[in-house]
Formats: sequence, C-alpha cells, structure tokens
Amino acid sequence: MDDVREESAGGETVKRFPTVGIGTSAGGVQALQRFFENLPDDVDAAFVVIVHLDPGHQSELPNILATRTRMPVAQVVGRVALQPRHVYVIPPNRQLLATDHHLALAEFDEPRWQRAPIDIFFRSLAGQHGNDFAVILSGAGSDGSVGIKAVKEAGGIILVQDPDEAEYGSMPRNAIATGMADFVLSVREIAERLPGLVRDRRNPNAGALSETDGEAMQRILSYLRVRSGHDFANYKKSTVSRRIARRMQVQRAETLADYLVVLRENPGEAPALFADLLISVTTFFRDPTAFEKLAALVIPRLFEEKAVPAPIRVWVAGCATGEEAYSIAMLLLEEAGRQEIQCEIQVFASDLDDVALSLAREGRYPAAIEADVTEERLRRFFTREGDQYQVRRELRDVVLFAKHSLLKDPPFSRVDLVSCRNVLIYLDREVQHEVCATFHFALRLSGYLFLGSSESADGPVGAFRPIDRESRIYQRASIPAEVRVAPRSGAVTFGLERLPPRTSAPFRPQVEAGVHHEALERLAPPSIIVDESYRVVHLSEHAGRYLQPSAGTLTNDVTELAREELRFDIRAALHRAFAHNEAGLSGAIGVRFDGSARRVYLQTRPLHSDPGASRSAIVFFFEGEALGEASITPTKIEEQANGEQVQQILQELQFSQSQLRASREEYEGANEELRAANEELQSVNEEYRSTAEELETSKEELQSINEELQTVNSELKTKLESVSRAHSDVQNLMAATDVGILFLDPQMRIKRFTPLISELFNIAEGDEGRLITDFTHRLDYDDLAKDVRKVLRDLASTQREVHGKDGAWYLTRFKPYRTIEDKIDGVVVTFVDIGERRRAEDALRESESRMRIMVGELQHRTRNLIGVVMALADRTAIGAEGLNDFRSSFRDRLGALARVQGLLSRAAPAGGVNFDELLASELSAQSAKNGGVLTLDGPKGVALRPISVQALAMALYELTTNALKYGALGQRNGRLNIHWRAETENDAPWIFIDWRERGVDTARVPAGAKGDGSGRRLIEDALPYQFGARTTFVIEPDGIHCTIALPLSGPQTENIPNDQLAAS
Amino acid sequence: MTSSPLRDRRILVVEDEFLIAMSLQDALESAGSVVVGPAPSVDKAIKTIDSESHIDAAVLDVNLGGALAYPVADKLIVRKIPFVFTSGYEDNVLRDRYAHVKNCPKPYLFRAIEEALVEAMSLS
Repeated sequence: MDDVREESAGGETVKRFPTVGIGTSAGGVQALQRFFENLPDDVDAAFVVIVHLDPGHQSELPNILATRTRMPVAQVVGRVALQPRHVYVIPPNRQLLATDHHLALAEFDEPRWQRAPIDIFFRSLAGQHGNDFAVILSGAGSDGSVGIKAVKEAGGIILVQDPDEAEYGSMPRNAIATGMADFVLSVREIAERLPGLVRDRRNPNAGALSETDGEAMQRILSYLRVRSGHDFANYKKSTVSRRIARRMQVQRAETLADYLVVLRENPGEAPALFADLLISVTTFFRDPTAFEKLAALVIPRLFEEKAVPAPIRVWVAGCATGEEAYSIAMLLLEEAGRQEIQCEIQVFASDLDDVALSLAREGRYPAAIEADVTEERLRRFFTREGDQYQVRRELRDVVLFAKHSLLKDPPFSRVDLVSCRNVLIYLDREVQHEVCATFHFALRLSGYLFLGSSESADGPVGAFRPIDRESRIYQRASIPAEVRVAPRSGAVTFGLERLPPRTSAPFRPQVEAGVHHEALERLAPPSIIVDESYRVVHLSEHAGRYLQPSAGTLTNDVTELAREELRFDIRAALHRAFAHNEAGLSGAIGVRFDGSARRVYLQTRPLHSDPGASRSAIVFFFEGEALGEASITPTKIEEQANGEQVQQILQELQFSQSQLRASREEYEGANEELRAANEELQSVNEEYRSTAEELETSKEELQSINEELQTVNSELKTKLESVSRAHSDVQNLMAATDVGILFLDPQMRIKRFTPLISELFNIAEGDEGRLITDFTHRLDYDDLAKDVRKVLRDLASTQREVHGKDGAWYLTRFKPYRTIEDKIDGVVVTFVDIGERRRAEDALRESESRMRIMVGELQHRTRNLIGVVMALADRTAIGAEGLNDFRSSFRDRLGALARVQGLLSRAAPAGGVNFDELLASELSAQSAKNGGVLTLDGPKGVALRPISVQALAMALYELTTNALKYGALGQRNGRLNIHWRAETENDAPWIFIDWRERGVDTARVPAGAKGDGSGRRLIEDALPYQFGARTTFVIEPDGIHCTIALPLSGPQTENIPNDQLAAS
Repeated sequence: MTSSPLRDRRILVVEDEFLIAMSLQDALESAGSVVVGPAPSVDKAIKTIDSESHIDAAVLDVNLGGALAYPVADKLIVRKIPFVFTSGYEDNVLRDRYAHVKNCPKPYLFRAIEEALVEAMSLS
C-alpha cells in the first residue's frame, strides 16, 4: 500500500479519485460486510463509512471490515488525507467532515438524538469535492436523506440499498423518497456496479461536452420538451450539460447520441432527466434589494388597501423548496406586527416538483441560511435543531404548499400579490405572456406582481404597469383582460395544451375617438353613438351610409339625420335604451339604398359611463340580404291587405320580437355570470385541493410522528422494565440489609429507610415525607440534624460512633445523596451495628491491661527472686567450707528454688500448689541416696497459698538434704515419718506438718557437720516471720523432730496492680 | 571496714522476704547500725514504729506480702522519719506523693541502700 500513498501524495493524482461515502445505521454491519466482500480491491476511490455509533463504546467496526477487504481499513483519529483504495471509518461520538480531500473530525454540537452524521458528511462532501458517490445502506431513521440531495446537486451519484433487502428499511426508504436515488439495488449489486461507475465517472465540467455535441444536445432538449412540455433551451448551458452528463454516467452512455437513444427507449429516463434539471437552488430573500423594495412599496399597501377585514392572499408560483414563499410570509407577518393588524394571511406556494414541495412543507433548512436570513428573523421564525433550522409554526401555518402547474392548472383568484421569480426566464416569450395573463386574471384589481431580476411583465400590453422597474414590481392595470386556462383533460404525457385567450365583448365606454376607433372600427358593424337628447356624438366609419339628412337646417338629431325608413325604429329603440336602460334589436327594416333595397337591423345599447357623466347609447347597423321588389315596399302590402289590421299585427310582432330579444339578452347575461361563477368555483376548488393535499401531508407527518412516538414508547417501556427491576433489587436490598440506611431529602424529610432505621427511630411504613426531626429515637445522639445540615453545606461525608440507649454502638456515616445528574438531593445516613467490634475492643483493652499488670508483676517477682537468690548466696557463703562446698550447696538450693518456681508457674494462674505435690517434688528430686524407710501420711489436695510455697519449699529442701546427708534417709536403719493434716483453728484453715526421723545414729554424724543451720533457721525464723507459722525443731537422740503449723488463709499472692501502686 | 555514716543509727527494716531481711540486717549491722525490726508486714511495722521512741531512718519494701506499704510510709512521714523504698517496681509506678522518696529497685547492692539512706537523712 506504500506505493499508493506515494502516488496519491504526488499532487495532481490526489484529485483524480472520487470519494464513496457509505451511510448506514441499524443492520449496517452486515450490509457493510457484504458490501466489502463483493467489492473488488482495485477500485480507485476512497471509501468513507459513516455509521451511528454508541458514543460510549469503542467501535470494533474497523476490525470487522478489515477481515472482508484487502484494502487498509482505519478508524479516523484526526485530520487525514484521503487516499484511493483505503477505507475510513467514523469514530464514536464524532462527526466526520470532508474538507479539501481530507477527512476531519469535529465534536457534535447537538444532543445525541439529533445527530445526523451521515447528512453532515454528505453535505461536506458535496460542498468540497463535487461529483462523488453517496451510498445509503440499511438503517433506521432518515439520516442521509438531506445529504444525498446536496451530493446529487453537486453532480454526485446516489446508490441506495433496496429497502426490501435491508434489515432496516427506513433509511433507504427515506432516501428513495427524496427522489434523489439514482440506483436502488441490493448490496451485492451496489458493490458490483460501483467499480464501473467510478471508472466511467466523467468530468462534470461542461467542457466534457464538445462543440459537436451541440446538435445532440438540442435534440435531447427538444425530446424533453415534447415529453414534458418544458423547454430547457433557455437554461444556462453549463447547468444543462452538467446534469445531462450526470445522467449519462448513471446510464453508462458514452456519448450524447448514446444518451439520446437511452432517453428515447427508456420511458423512465425523461422524467429522471426532467427531475434532475429541476433541481434548483433558491435562497431566502434572493436579491435582497428587490425584497427591500417589496417590503417598502407593496407589503404595507396590501394591508392599507384592505378596507374590510379580508385575508391577504399571496401566490408564490414556482416556490421550489419554499424559501421564497417563507421569505414573503415573513415580510407579511412582520408588517402585520408593525401595523398591529389582526389579519388573516394566506400564502399559496405552488410548484411542479413533488420532492421540492415535500421539502418545503417540512420547513427544515441547513444552518447555512444564516447567511441570508437576519438574526432577528432567525430568532423569530425558526428554531434551531442541530445543524438545521426548523420553520416555526407561526410561519409555517401561513404558507400553503400545493402541486400546481402554472401553465396547465386553473390559477388562484382574487390574489393580492403574485410572486413568481426566476420561472419566466425558463419559458419562451409567448408562454411568458400567457403566464402574465394568468397572473392578471388571478390578481384582484390593482394587485401586485413580483418577478425575478431578469424577467418582465411587458406581456399582454397594458396588463401591468411597473411600480419599480428595477425590482420587477408591477401593478395590475385596469384594462379588461380575461384569461382562460383550460384544465388538462386526460393528457397522456407531460404535454401542455394551450387555448388562445378569449377576449370578450363588454367594453368600458371610452369617449375618446382614438379608443373608439381602435376598439370598434376594426371589428364592429357601422355604428353611431348618441347622447341622451338623441344627438349624434360620433360616427363610425361607413356609418354615413345609413344617414340621409332631411331638407332644411342641418341638425345632429339622429331621428332627423337617419334615413327615413329607419327613423321610427331608431327613435323607439333609443327611447327604450334611455328610459328603460335596455338594449334592443329591431326586426328587419327594408331600406332602399341607391337603387337596391336591403334588410337592415338595428341594435341599440345603452352605454354605461361614470355616474354624473352624460349618458349615451350606441346604435349598430347590421345590413342583411337584398330584398325583392315585391317585399320592399310595405306601402304595397298595405294597399293589398287591410292596411289598418296589418299595421296592428306588425306592431304586435315587432313588440314580441323585441321582447324575445330582451329575454335572449337576459339569458346571455345570466350565462355570462354563470361562466364567471364557474371560473370562481374552479379557483376555489383549486384551493380546496391544496388544502386537502396539505392535510394529507399533515396526516403523513402525524403518522411518522406517531411511529416515532411508538419507538420512543417501546424504548421507554424497556427502560421502565429495567428501572422497575432495579427498583425491586433496591427494595430487596433495603429489606435484607442489617445496615440501617436512611435517605433524607434536603429538607430532612424521610425518603426511604431500612428495617433497622424503623427500629432506631420509631418510623413506620407511610412515614415517608415526614421530617426526621419529628421522630424520637433510641440513640444517645442529639446532633443528627446538625450533622445532616453540615453534610449538605460542605458536601463532604462524615462519620461518628453513636451510642444506642440500649447499650448498642453504631457507626453512623453521612454522605451527600448525588443524583445521576450529579446534583445533591439530600443525605444518605447509614447506621452500622459495631457492638461486636466495641466488645472485642473492650476485651482487647482489658487483656492488654492484664498483660501490663502481669508484665509488671513478673518484673517485680523476678527482681524479688534475684534478691532472694542474692540473700541465699550470702547465707550459703556463711556456712560453706570452701568454694566447692559453696558451689554444690548453692547449686542445690538454686535447684530447689527453680523447682518451686516451676511448680508455681505450672499452677498459675489458678495458683494452688498442694502440699503433697510440693513434698513429692522435693523428695523425688533428692531420692537418689535413699537409704532409710520413708512413710508419708496425710491427705492429698491441701492447697497452699502460693505466697508461702517458696519459703516452705526451701524449708522442706533443707530438711530433706539434712535427712539424706546425716539423718534417716542417709542411714540403713533410719526411718522418716512425714505426717500432715489440715485443720481449722480459730475459724481459719491451717496445715500441721510433723517431720519425725528415727533410728538415726547421731554419733555417726561427724561433729560440726550439721550443715550451716540454714534449714533450722528457715523453719524456726523465716516461716514464723513471713507467714506467722508456728514451728518447732528438736534434735532428738534418734533423729530430728520438726513440726510446722502454717496458716492457709491470708493474701494468696504478692500481686499488687499497678494502678493501686500509683493511685493517690 | 571503714566507718559508715550509718554507724549507730537506728534503722527500721520493713521487708516481708525473710532472707532479704536477714541479708539487709546483716549488712546494716556490719555497717554499725542498729536494726529496728525487721518487720514483715504493715501491721508489724506500724506497731514497731509506735513502740520505738527513736528511729533514725527506715528501709521500706513497697510490697509487703501482697499489701502496699503506703500506710507505713505515711506513718513515717508523720513521724518525720526519713526513709527509702525498696521494690521490684520501677520508680515511675509509685505514688506521686512519694516522688521525693528515693526508690532502690530490687535486687540492690547494700551500697545503694546506704547512700540512699544517708541522702534521705541529710535532707530531712
């Protein structure tokens, strides 16, 4: 792919390849996979995939597509130059724009549901690149429909997936509904067709059509004119050729001649070309100065001229996508506001193009209209929706859109203003005049006409007079003009029929000779205009034929000037005309002209003039066939028949004839009125049709809104389900937890609580909404409200340990309640039972202090023990016979001391050491030299006070040592009896010990070898000293007799707690 | 033995442990002192103090067979008899109001007792 990059970086080549924008949404991943599977890898175009992505998720689309094509697929991460044979994918939460053969990312300005990334991209593509490709695949919604129009206007080609094949058909369907789709195919067919289209892509410039194509072009246009009735010869040549070139590309026609064949053979092609040619760009307030003039000169007058409150009616013919109609409606609404007039305003906007009309009805315009519409108007008449402006209801309601052909359909009537801009220029001069005549009919007397900058209403002479020639504003002149446009009946093609305008008889009296001459002389029979006193005011040409003044003074009285035969009838007719204001036609009157007699008929008609002006009448002379001699002279008849009778019958006949004439005229007048009424009705009917169409559209809109609502509803339903599931989870959690949770609102009203809370605060179900401070509680804690307020103020959580009145402990934690929108809406208070922990802590503290006491005691005991050891060493040293003797004695005594420590520590902490155990321990430790007989006699389990054990043990040690060395245990005949008993003396327990040695040969004991006397001293002095014991120690001739009486009650140990030591 | 500052002084020994009391008595007597007591308990000590008209100083074991020797100390203070404590406890655990009384921790060498007694007597 490196070579491609280099090639494309090489300047000129960059611009040679087109861009294929692919827009898709729901169901798009599959469609895209199929598309790229079927697309060859060598199509020299850059592919840009625009999909609707969840803004919160990474898109896997590039990886998915990469498995279907060998072209490099990349998600766009920043500005990147487009390269052919590359696939670019839109990233989530960004809009993609094509700028100068680069792709750029931008943030969305609008909320998620208003985003239309496909439209945005296509529009940017159209604005930057010219003829590219737009592909719409499966998807829901209508994104892309606006964008493809822009692409098509710029000469691009639109391919849409067949909605029946698409998983979601609404996006393709909407795209097709715009009428912009050049191809509606399956995904596979699109992929197969595209390479050819890219290859055949023509340069859209008009230069591609050579001069020699001129003739073919003419033939195409004539064919189109025949088919559609529209002559596009007056279109700008570049526009026409560009659009024909586009169609050629679509139809894969190599030359114009080929295309002409296609056009002829394919019945769908002519309408398609027609539609392409009709794509027109119009803007708001196009030619601003003209609109300013209109606003200044015409609009105010429309209001002023409304004497009675009647609606102001405006007809915008050829409204295209509605900008012109809305512009005029805005001017009207503004003027109505200025004049504070409550006046109904109707703007009829008509056009041929259904698609344009539907866009106009929708009233959505891209943000680019900011350039044409002032900010104030945008604010008043539009609402911003994303990157579009939507016409507000106020404006929309004023404008009525209807499909209507200026040339074929009956016009609207009694209109105050007709605006038809840049339509006439496409029509030939003859048709232009015809259209102007239509406008003349449609307009009320002195209504206004507003044309495009290069058009004029010179049309039927005198029909309009200019108000401002430069701005093409005209006013309907008052000359009579009646235009009929025949409704098209069962026409086969776009064909257009024209009926010649019918001019009719009634004229306004024009006394000026010139007008009279012009209007009548050419068409009418000879006539005379006569005033009320029968004086001839004016004669038409040849009228002299019927005059023959009598002899005498010349008078201008017609009854004397006319030929004699006519005088009677003229007088009668004029009388009727002036007296009864009736027209009359005479019977045949025989008049003898120079030699020949002819029948002459008279027609008399009163002429209505302005009130106050003198009245007049006109007399026409119709000359009939020649008369035979016989019938010429009534005198002869009179002579032949009974003169009197005939005269009477003739008069009656004449009278009847004139009556007949009068009724015929009446009938004709009525007929005329009916025709006018019919005309009127047709116009009204037209309006009704527009309204019906409008309603139909509204219904469709409602239907689509309904569908949208249904979608929203089902979404909401799903959401509701998940919310209610979450809610039940919360309920269960609240019910199940041992933790007390209390939700308060910012006013400290209860919102929700768990069972523990209801125990602590005496709250029951149904207390939600009440103030928490109104409830008593079982806590030793009065600052709840204060703490809640603090949390609400500082927005920081706090915690404290709170003592319950029943001895429980709770860890109470306050946290601000944050809504999903991160708004603070109260406080959450949790109570966690920490009784266990507290108890454990207490136990730990206690055992710690016990430990401290024990350590102190241990130290005390150890130090005391060392003191004893030191004293023991002193005592041993006193009686020792040399170091060796000291060492063995001292070691043995330390051994005894160690033994008793062992006994004591084993007995701890219960403390008791029994006398029998102590005795056994001492005896067995030294029984190695057992020589005599030992008898023990006493109860077991006599517990000694621990405090006295050590001293007693040392005494027993000394006795045993002596007995082994010198006494009963050291001699064969020796006997040792140890007898003890526990007894109560003076209510206190004592132990009585009797140590009696017998059979000891005291003589064998070497003199001075009686030990150091330590044993005796211990028994005689230490025990009484320390424990108040009573002791005896007697050396009998056969051995030692020792008695010890030791109290068993009194302090058990030496332990004194540290706090007693230190307490003052 | 050189002349001890304790010579001819009447020294009360209050100590429950017989062997230690004997050792201390021997040492004091060696230094030329006259030992009053020794007394093994609070009762005996107080009786001794009451019955003796003249005591120059006292050595007082804090723990007398599991009982505190403080009543004895108080009695000595009342009688204005200087004394020193001996105990297996650290100085700092003893009652604040005896802060001025020197404590000779066990096990002690007699020299320590001797010096402490001399110091106590010189201060009083």
